Amino acid sequence: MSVLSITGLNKQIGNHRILKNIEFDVKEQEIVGFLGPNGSGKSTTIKCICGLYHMTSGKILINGADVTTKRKEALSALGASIESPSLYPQLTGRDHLKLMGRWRKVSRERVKEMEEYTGLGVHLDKLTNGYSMGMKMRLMLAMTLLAKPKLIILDEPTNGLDPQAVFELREQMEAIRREGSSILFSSHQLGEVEKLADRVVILDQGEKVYDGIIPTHLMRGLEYHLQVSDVQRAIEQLSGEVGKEIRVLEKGDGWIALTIESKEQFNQMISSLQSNQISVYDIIKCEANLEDFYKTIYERSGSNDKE
Amino acid sequence: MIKNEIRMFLSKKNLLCLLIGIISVLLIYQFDYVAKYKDYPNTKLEEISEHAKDIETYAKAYQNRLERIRKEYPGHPKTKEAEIMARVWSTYSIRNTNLGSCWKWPNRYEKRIREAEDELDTQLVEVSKENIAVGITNLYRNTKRDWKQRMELRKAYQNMNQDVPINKVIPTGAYVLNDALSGISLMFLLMMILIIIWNFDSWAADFEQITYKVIFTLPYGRKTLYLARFGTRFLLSICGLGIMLGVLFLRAVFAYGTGFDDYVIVNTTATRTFGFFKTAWSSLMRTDQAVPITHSIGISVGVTLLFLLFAISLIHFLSFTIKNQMGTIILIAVGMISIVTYSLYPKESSAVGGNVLLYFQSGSALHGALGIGIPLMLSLLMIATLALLGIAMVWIEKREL
Repeated sequence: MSVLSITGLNKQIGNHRILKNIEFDVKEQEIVGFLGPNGSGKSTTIKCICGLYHMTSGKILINGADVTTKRKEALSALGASIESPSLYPQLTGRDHLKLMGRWRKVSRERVKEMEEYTGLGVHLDKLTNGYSMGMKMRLMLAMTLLAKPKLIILDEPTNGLDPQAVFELREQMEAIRREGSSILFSSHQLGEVEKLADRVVILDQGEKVYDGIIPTHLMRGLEYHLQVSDVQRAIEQLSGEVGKEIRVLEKGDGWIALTIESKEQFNQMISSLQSNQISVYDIIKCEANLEDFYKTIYERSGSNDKE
Repeated sequence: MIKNEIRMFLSKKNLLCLLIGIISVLLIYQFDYVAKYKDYPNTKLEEISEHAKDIETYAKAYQNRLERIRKEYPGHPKTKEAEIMARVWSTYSIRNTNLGSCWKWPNRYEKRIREAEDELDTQLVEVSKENIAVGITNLYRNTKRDWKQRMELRKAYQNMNQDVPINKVIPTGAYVLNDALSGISLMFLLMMILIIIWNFDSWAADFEQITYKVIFTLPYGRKTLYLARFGTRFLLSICGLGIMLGVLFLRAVFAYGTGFDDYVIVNTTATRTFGFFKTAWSSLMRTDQAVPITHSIGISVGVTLLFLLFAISLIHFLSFTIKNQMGTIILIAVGMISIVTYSLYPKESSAVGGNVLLYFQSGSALHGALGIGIPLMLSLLMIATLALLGIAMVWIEKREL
């Protein structure tokens, strides 16, 4: 069952279409990375989910409840931290948790549990205007988790965090998923998204351009650099004979970089080159990553625009 | 939700303002009310000495006029009027001199002052009955309406076998409450300032701190969130003002008693009319009535409460719309200055009566100076508040946050 379901989401302001028919969902205990360059519509989508923005058309269901018509029910299942941590500078960390506890009608025991969870210790009784970014993030996360929501939205959660804090956040997010919640998080830290997310949704210029698993799982180990005796002939051979499954990425003085779709094609490729008297002096296997995939998506998206 | 709103309202800033407010109240009592009370004899002495020469002049003039009429126009129809005026001015001249002496030691000569005042006013009954024009002579000691009000008050006190207070500004508990709620006093200004300080950041602070994202992603409707905050802050603001007025009242009672047996003048046209009326004193004079001060306080409380409900709803709406604390407070301050300045100038009743923003002046309203009946005033305040809240509800729902 989907914890979050978005269908036909459109957002228009005047003549400017900000979101164009966005559709995706988040399943139970799933971590979904939400990616896109600045201005792609990520924050707008998140704000529509949280009820801060009105949709022009479309439907958003959180745990089966429509955000527009059953707002209370929908938002009861949601915990969100949008952009920078939203804290009252004149209140302490403990005050914040008590406030949120009352708003969300959770027990005192649960509030105490979340006080421990923050790991802030004595800092809990200090005013939040003196907190570091990491401390603010920990407090925001605890506030978000207080009511054990089914869906947690984290918008740029790693912004301003040091590497240790990022590592801790990653562990916390894994723990949250184990406890039964789903997470939709946006980030520009592709490395973090790659490590955490089961799936990514990528937006560009208000449109969804990709929704699926991170194909680097499949791509990992399938990019090669070959040192060959004749680069031009090797390219002609691979393009012609073995076919479209092989894609030449780059070429240089005596080497080519290429990707293949499956390991089976590897032998075929080497055999093809050798049978045509093209010597292969060295083979280097490259680790592909999300950044490469991200670039690929945007290149493809750019090509589609041109078409 | 309500507990949270209470917690947020009871911030250090607001509690500090309440403390400053209480201290200010005590200072206002001492340096405004008590000072005016103690200075009242001097004020009266100044008034008496200022008019002394004029009274002398008019007394001589009317005496001369009488003698001339008798000598040159015996049996003239104006003879009776001339006799009355000559007698009245002559008494006025003597009494005025006596009053000047008595007011130097008001505590010692309280009874004499009271008698002199009584006689000065009583002798004008004949002048009024004969419909004699007094022009600019100030015979009635201000207007005829003022004279009639003094007569009404005297009658009311006499009916209750009470002495008329000679010092009109004795700062008893009831007096200071009545004045504080009148809308045109330093106390009321202090109250309005506190209302603004307590409420201007009700939404603007959340927008500046970006904590509005926390609030508006809670599982409550936007209208519910807005009304909960508005309602809680209104009630707590009233409690805060109540504490201040309570301190003022107790301070006054401790010094000069409750004053609940005092009387004040209200205009029954103002208290009973559901509509607008002319504010000319000649028409309002007939319906002035002395009532126990508690009645006046009760009406003022009602008017003030409804006005504060309107004012706080306006402040909350501005705070939500402008989303900026500085912007909100500047706009409110400019508005307040404009309204106070506008209210100081005399104007036609139609201009005043229709302006809800001027309804803080319950004292003026009770005297008929606003030209609108209090029942209509209360209704318009309620309608304006509901309209404002209605607009706010629509605005909140439609607004992108």
